[in-house]
Amino acid sequence: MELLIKEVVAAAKGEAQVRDQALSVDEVLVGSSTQCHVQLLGAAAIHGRLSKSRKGLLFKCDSGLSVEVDGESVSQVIVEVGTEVEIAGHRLTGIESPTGFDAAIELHFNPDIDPSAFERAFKTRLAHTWLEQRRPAWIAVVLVAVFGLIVPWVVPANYLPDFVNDSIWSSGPLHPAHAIVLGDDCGGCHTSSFTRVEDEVCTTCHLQASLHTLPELHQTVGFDEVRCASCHQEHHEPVYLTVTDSALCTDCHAKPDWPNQVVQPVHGFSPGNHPQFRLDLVTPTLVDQGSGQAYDWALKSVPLATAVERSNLQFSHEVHLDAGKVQDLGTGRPLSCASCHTARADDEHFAPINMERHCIGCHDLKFDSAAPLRNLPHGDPEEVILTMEGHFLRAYLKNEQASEVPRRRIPDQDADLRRCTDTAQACALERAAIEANVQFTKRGCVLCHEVVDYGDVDLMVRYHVGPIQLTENFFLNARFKHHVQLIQDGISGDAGCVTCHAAPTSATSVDVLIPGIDQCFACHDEQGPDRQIALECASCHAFHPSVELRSLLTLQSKTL
Amino acid sequence: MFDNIMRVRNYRYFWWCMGSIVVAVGVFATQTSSNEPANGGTWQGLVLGVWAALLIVWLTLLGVRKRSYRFRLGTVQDWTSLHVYLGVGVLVVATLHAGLQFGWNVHTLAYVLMFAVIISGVVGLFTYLSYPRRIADNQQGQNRSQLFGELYELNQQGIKTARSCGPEVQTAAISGIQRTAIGGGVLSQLFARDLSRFETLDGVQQPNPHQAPLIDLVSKRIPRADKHDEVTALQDLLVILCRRQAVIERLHKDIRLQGWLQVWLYVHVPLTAATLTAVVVHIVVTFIYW
Repeated sequence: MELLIKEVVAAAKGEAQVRDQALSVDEVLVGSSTQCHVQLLGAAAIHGRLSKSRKGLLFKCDSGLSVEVDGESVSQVIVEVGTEVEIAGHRLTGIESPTGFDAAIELHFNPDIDPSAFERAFKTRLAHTWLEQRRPAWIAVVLVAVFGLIVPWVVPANYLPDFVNDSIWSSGPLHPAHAIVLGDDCGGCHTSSFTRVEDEVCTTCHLQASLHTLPELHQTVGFDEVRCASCHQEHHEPVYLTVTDSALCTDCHAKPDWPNQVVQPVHGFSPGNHPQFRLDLVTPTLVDQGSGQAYDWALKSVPLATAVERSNLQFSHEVHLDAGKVQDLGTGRPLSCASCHTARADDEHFAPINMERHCIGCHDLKFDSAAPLRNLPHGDPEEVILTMEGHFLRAYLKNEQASEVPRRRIPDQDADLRRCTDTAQACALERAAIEANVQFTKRGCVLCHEVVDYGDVDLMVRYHVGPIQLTENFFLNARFKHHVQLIQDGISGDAGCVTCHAAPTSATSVDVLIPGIDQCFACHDEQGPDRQIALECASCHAFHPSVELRSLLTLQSKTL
Repeated sequence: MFDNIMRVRNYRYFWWCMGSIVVAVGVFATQTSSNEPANGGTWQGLVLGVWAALLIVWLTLLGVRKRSYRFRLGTVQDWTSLHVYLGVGVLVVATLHAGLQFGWNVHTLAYVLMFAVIISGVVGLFTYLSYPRRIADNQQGQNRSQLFGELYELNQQGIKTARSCGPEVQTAAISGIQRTAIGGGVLSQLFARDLSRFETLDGVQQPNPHQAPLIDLVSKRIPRADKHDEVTALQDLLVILCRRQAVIERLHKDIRLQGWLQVWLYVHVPLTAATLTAVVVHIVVTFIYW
């Protein structure tokens, strides 16, 4: 559009001055802004736009604005010749357009424009711009509330992308094992809103979690207030599952005032704050059985200080660890702890001591010098008698047959056989009785076992060999790592073991070689002067007693 | 005197803030669990969380206090000083509450928003401490309306004088006066971007930053003037244009400084609303999935 603008300015002497301005643009901006082609102070920044239309020159106001035409407010008008448009006191009039122009207007500026209108023509404050405080504030409020709370709450997670479903409520990662099972399913544990995670959610998978207390004590000690999540917490970084602070234990165990009290007060692990050790000893009781008596083995909790191990074993650690008295037959070296004691995978307990594996190398069960390769069977006294009777019967029968024909005499070997002149059977039984007496009461069984000689004529019932039950787990409710304890400055091998276990001075197997708690305090006194390595309750004790382990270990106390 | 917002009542609120931080750190330090990392779920974490939430609510109430002239508990100056100190202090309390555990979740969103609010607040504090003096130095006793009034008078004189000059100068000077840009959009205000222009006789618009090209044009025209009257008019016009230039520069600077004095609030206020909402969401969500 080619537009001619005639600016009419009132001169001092009353003669108007005119300044022509030719514009060649599609749209002529009219307003107070300096970017406008026609700058009118006091008007809006961009008040309206002049453009060419089919009906002529069109003046169209911007949204919400108006101009005065013949005393009426209009938002748009066709500027024909003679049409007078008033904007903020300025007059814009249509005039005849000269040749070469599409339209022409005449501008009469408002002579009464004041400096304040002049200032208003400029956007000089941020409030004049698009910047706002309230609207963005409300938008932010709505966005956070809708996408942070309402949408994840109302819409099921599987209908939403991860960044707006309820996974954004998770305050931290799950333990990897839980994450595998649950994924992002918050409802897997949080079954209902505004309710704490219930124990049943845990025991759905953790079926084996045993109760900390006996069911009959459960209610009376106030244990119902303790939830799985009291100790097992999720959503932390770094990931951890179990709070093991001693305070969680001592909250109750410092003053165990519940009925049927069976535990002693514990305040921590330092002298005076932890009770002396008690042992879970496998202890025999003689009970009547049939016409005689039998051993009934049961675990008994006894104080370590007065504990005596009644295993029926006859054994001296002192002798076996004396290098001058006992050496390994194979290597000729003195025995070490590890010669007999082999740690299990749990690093706490040891494999059972076994006659065939650990003892027979030195303590063979030979009974007839004429048959140096023959050994008595171990573990069954009747079989021992039968073996000897059979062996000697065969020997005497063989001797009887041999006497009927002259044979070459074998020096020493059959001297005893020829001394008996009775029948082979009588001789064999007599010889077996003699040898049984030697084995059971002098040099065989009696070396390791408690043997009672009832003096009966019948060998089968004459000797009673006490069965051996060794305690393998002295602390059913504790756990311990042997390997860690062996790392001591300047000490290695057996020296590490004997730091705690006084085996070299133990002459009898009734000695319990478990160290007292003071031995532990030497390093683990939490109130010690040198800030020794403090222990938590959970360092040695499990909150959930392992019922299986308890019964298993009890059964594994084997007979030698 | 401009930094008395920090020194109100001989730094009383600084010590209040320090006391709050020391107590918060003390509470945090009692989390001595051997393996449970510090977090908002311990009793210490809950205490710190409640304390941080109350602080945030109180800090937000400054907006209400400013508008409440009947409120008697403490002056606005007291409130603002405490607002500044506790605003920084809440960062420590909230961080201890979180136990430095962060992630992509609504809880960290609340923390990040709060952090952004505090950063914008620190920017605002900096401007409040330094800009009023610079604004006063720039205005030299004239407020903005007075500067615009002076510019208006100079413009009127300039247009009137320009009409006595030749058509080239007349067109350039009048259009240059009319198309002097002051303020404008956000960036123009904050960075005093000058988009002024003037027109040449053939209708072409030339940039006129800081009015220098127009002044240059008029000054070069003086030696080429034919008549003594024209020389006088051109010299008068040059004086007026130079005086305009000085006033316009002061206006530009005033708008720029006032802009920076306020622009942080356009971040601070909406983010405060967002933070407050996020804190509510954080608390509600914690109990939905208890």
